[in-house]
Amino acid sequence: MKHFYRFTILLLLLILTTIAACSIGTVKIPPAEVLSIMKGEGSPIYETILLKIRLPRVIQSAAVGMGLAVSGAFFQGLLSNPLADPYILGVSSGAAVGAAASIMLGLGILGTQAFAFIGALATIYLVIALSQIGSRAYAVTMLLAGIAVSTFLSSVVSFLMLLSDHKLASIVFWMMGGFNLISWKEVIISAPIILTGIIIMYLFSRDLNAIIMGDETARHLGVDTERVRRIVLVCGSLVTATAVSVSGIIGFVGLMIPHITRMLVGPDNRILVPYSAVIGGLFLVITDTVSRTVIQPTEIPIGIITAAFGGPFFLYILKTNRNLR
Amino acid sequence: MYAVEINGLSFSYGNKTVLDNINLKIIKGSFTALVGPNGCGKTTLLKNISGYLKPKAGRVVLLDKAVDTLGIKERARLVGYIPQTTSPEFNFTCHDVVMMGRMPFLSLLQREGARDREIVRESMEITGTWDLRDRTLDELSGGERQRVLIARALAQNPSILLMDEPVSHLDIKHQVEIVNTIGSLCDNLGITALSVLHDINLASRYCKQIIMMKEGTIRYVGAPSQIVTQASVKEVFDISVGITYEKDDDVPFIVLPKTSGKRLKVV
Repeated sequence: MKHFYRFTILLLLLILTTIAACSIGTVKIPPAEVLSIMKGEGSPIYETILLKIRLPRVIQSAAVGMGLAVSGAFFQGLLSNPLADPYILGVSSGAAVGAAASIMLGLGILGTQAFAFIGALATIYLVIALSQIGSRAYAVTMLLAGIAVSTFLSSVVSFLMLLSDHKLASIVFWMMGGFNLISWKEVIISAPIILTGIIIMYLFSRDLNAIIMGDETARHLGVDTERVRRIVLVCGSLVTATAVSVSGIIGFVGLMIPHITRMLVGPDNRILVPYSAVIGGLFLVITDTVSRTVIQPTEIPIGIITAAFGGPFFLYILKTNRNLR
Repeated sequence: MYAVEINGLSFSYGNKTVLDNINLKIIKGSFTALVGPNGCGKTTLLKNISGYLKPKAGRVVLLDKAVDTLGIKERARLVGYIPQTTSPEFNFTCHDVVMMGRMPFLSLLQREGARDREIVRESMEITGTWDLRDRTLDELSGGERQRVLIARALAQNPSILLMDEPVSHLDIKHQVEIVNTIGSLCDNLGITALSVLHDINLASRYCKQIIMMKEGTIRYVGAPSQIVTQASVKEVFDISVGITYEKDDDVPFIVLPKTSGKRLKVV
């Protein structure tokens, strides 16, 4: 019950932040104007900026934040690696290669989705395979494998972008992420996929609790660990790929948010996962607002901001987590 | 009736044969100790019984049901298993840990109900861990943690309890306490317990039956008074010991040998 109230408050906070984020920007829309637009009585210019430009962008950033945070929480538990996240494991770069390739081939948005998904899934299985020595997967080896694969794939993306007629700007977009290209079309396609992926993963959050205790323990508690692993890795890759194909590579969200949330609500994934989702959404909505307002009218790529927080955070976890020693 | 019946069980990791033609029957409600030198296949045998590992040949029957015909959840309702090491990465409370024992009874969308909480409470009271319910696993001493893990296995309502060295790193008082708890589960709840133990004296004192394994085969099975002898210990563990008895008691007690002449010289 305690969690019900807290979670409701957090959800309200996300909605309020979303509305606030819509009113902030190069063109300021006063809160009163936002309300009258919601009633359908606002000025047409403000209405266009709010409903056609800002609202889809803010909703998209919330959805991406949710998806990355939940994927991170599941990757960390499933791979028993506190530093696992879609960016560090190279899954985001894998998705970016897929997306970039499909853009070069001139496939539409669904083609981009599909290619990004294949790239993401192939990368996670590659990194897991590389980090396995015998039947064990080692946490630190997995990080190194992820970083190496990620670096390689990033250079592939840059190369693909140079080959095509795209300018440097689009390379920056893929490497650093951004929500500046978002319209309702992207939101309508990507948000349902991300939410569905989150819900399917959430169904396995109790199983994930047992898996954290060790594979042997989980199987003796009746959890088909192989099946859960397969389903969750596919869903996590799908969510990450969808996020990347609309907003490029945004790092460290999947690392930071689950850890911060764990400090707040504890390790039970049935509670951790929904909280991570909302806090992840909140985080990216705020970060994106910062990225488009600090040095107006220029936009800072959002990945710069998440990395500025995420890099030190990564080192903090590396230093304090006893499972990595 | 037998709780565990094993016929012609063999198992190998790759080319290395770990278990070779194991035949075994364990009576329902008994407390059996599994002893043997390191690497003789004790853990592998437990995992074959629980269905975690699939035998290369032979079959395991638990309470008239062949293990390989049971689904993973059905197995978890029949067998509680306490592995040798549990290293919790994230700190669940003891209550959460014991509640995990109810997982085999819940479907994907089902939440724990009043009945589950009742069973968790009973399991924790039986093992004397109810007062620890809000502490996290890593705050506990070795003995407390082991009792919480037994409580989790009990919450599975198991007919059979398999334990891999549950007392190995505990002090003598806690060793006796845990082994006594297990013994009373067998006597009072009719649970069949099979536990890997390293201390033969502990096993002789508290278990009805001892299984001695060596190099993937079972060498001796029987009551401690019958099978714990100088000859059997020499054969299985390759060490010469003395055996002594307390007055009016047929429980064998191993006396360790005096230092042999083969000690390393300290220069």
